[in-house]
Amino acid sequence: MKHLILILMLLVGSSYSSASRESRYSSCSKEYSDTTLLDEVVVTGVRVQMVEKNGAGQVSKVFLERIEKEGRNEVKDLSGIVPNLYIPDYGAKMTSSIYIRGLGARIDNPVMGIYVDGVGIANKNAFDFDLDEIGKVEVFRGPQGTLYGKNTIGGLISLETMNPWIFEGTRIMVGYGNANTLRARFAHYKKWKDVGLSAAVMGRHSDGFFTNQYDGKKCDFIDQLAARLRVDYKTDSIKITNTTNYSYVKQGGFPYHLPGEGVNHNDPCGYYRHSLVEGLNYQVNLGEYDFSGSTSYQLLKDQMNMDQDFLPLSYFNMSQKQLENYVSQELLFKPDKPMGIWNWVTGASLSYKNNKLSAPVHFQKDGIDELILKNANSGIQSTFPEGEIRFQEDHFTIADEFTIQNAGIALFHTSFLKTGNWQFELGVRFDYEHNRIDYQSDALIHYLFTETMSDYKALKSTLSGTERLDYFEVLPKVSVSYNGDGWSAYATFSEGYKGGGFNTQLFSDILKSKMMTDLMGDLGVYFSDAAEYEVKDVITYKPERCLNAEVGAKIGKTVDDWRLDGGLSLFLIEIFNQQLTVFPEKGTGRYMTNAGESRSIGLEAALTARWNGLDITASYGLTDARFVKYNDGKADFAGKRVPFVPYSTLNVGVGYRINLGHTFFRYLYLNANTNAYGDICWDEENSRRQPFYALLNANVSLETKYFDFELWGKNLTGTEYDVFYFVSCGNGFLQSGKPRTYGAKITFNI
Amino acid sequence: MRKATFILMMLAVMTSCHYKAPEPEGEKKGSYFGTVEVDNDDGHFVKENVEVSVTKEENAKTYTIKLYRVKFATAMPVEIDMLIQGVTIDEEGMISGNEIIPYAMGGPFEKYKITNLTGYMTDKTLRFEMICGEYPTKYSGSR
Repeated sequence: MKHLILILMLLVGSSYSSASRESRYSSCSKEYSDTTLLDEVVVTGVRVQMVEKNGAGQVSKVFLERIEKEGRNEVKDLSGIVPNLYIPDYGAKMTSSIYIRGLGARIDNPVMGIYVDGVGIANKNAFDFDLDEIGKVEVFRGPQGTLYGKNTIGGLISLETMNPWIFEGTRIMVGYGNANTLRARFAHYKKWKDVGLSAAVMGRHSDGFFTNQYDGKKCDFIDQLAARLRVDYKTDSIKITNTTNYSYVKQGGFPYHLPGEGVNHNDPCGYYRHSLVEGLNYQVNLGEYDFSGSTSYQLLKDQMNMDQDFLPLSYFNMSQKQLENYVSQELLFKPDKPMGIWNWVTGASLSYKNNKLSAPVHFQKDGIDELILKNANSGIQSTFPEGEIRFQEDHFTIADEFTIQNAGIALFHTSFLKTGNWQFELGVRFDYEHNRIDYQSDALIHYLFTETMSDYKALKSTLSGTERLDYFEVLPKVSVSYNGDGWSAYATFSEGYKGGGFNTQLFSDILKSKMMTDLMGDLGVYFSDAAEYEVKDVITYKPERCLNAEVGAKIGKTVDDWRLDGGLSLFLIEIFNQQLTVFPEKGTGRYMTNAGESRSIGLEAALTARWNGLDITASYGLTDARFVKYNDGKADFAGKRVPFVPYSTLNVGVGYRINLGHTFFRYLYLNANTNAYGDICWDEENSRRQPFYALLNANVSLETKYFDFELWGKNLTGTEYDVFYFVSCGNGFLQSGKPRTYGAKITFNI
Repeated sequence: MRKATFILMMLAVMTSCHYKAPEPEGEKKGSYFGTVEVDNDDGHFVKENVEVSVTKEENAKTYTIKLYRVKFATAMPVEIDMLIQGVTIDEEGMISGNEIIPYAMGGPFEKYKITNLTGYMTDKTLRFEMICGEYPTKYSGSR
């Protein structure tokens, strides 16, 4: 604490020694909301601007001011303020599950894309990052596949980092909160004639909120460091932006617990990640046409450690490491100005991903005894009291090594036709993807059947091979809109898809089963009614298709002194070939398949009203998402609600700025908002659910001549709620939501 | 046999699913395919299409009869390989053996001692009967 006070004193002192400036950080959002200004300087969002200006559909925008005033520090904090968007805070930073409009995925491919400065984040494990020095967030709801390809069936989150054309100078923030949470940030923005330089360093530490009863230590601590360097260059005909983002995170995590009990597991759980995203955007004016492109390289290196039984027993744990390299190239061609009633954009993209993944599962004594040998030996010993199967080892490892490669190519075109008040959008995209997995999985044990064997015998089970998956997708989009005075109405129909792939998480299941089958085979025992299927059938899943129909209206006008912006939409989404985990007809185990269909029906409403320092925001989303077809081999879930999807999301916020009329104490900001979600079904049977719950957040901020000081609090009423439920080893586990959090921060804009 | 069935049912619990594994090579060449019949406590059990090989042992005097993936009762959830070693087959193909401990499930299975093994073998036909533990068992196959 002494260090913190010292840091704050030094920062205050340095700010007083600086020349007084008019720039305030809150002014950033005002400038930033000027779309015309953005068009002139930013080349990182050519497609975003085309869609925003010409496309139908709903876009939620969140600017720097709201991000900072409401303490929306992470991507998951966008939940609720965007209708129907729900990014639960559970597990660790690799979890990153996004749910919107009844679409979502706990594992593998996401349903929304995240773009930072025009570069799409390639791996879902890197989706969860902090919104430090992000000037603007735009959330495009509904399928964006025509322009952005796979894994955007729910929409797209586009983030634009701060740059010196928005703010020039230095921004420093230091904050402290409960759970010994420290946040610090330093950013500098400098502009020369044609060149802009942006540099930022961000760090965070928190002791965590949940205690592991096994060792009495906090199990959800986090240490995080991130850095960003952005260089902009622009002339009348050329614009270039290069953004390099690096982040490192080391954390505990997975604070799962049995209902009514605390977190209590013996093996360490945690996650660390190195993420590097390098993106180069460029735009060249060729007279009547604009040529633009984006080239990116991304590196992800992470490791997850997990006590998979989440109990103080030595069952089994997993350590998953991956090293991923990704390169992509996108090219866009469009007219400099609309050609009469016609405007269009045509593009192509190439990408290649190479992922080396290691995911060994370590079985320990309790796991061997309870999960493997107990069932087998309980019957044997009732008949042969001295007879049993034994393993010589008190622990063994199922080693899983994978190389996963993905290559994709796409061509796309979208035309916008504008005549009078009417506008039509016609788009199509052709995607081809090749996926390949090389796998090597093995385990070695020594076993003994005491009735017939006198010595332990070695048994090595191996599973190795290569699987491939190729697919071609055509994604059309048609929309029509009518633009009135300060309002518009639209109807749109589009198709999207979620990529196919391989579920590597099932390999330990597969090898465990194969090991026991091998053991039986070694004993000369065969299962006459066992299901027989190939590894490919177990792990491979094909693309999931999504048809989206939507109608809606938007307003954006000033009435008296009130500025009103809002939108209302109704949507119907049909999902085919839904990627699901099912059980085989014979035997046990599980596998991935495209067996399901589901339907989402819902509405979204959002309104922002501003009047003389008073900001009122409200958003509401309702989604009724149900399985139309889903039989997992054990039960039929048709008609049941899709789990993990909140039935509704609600955000209401009120902010008020009081002009203090003082040369030093300038403004006082008061802000209160509530995020509410639910109910949420936790399982396909809809037997467990989280009831509707609301979190109250508030902050008070004083803007002075040189700095801003803020007190903030989240979940002020201490609402108890759960954010995740799952079943492991026959036990149901929950993760509780974060308790009341509070703190203070000071920000300098120098 | 009931005990064996029970054991094998318990062992079945251990596994979850069966992934395709290559068939064992070598011994099976020249096998006979036929029917196993067992008179057990549940009645008369018949299993068709059971593969049996007969191979000369290293001492060149006795033979090993191996039954592949055989069941002996309807309730038996699994099939097993069973080896009957030290079987005598004379020049005329007459099969005999007694007090033989079969080899199954990784080792000798004393509780299922083979007694009164008799039968004959030709190039095209293999027939034998025996008492396996307590239960009369017959095999009739051809190739």
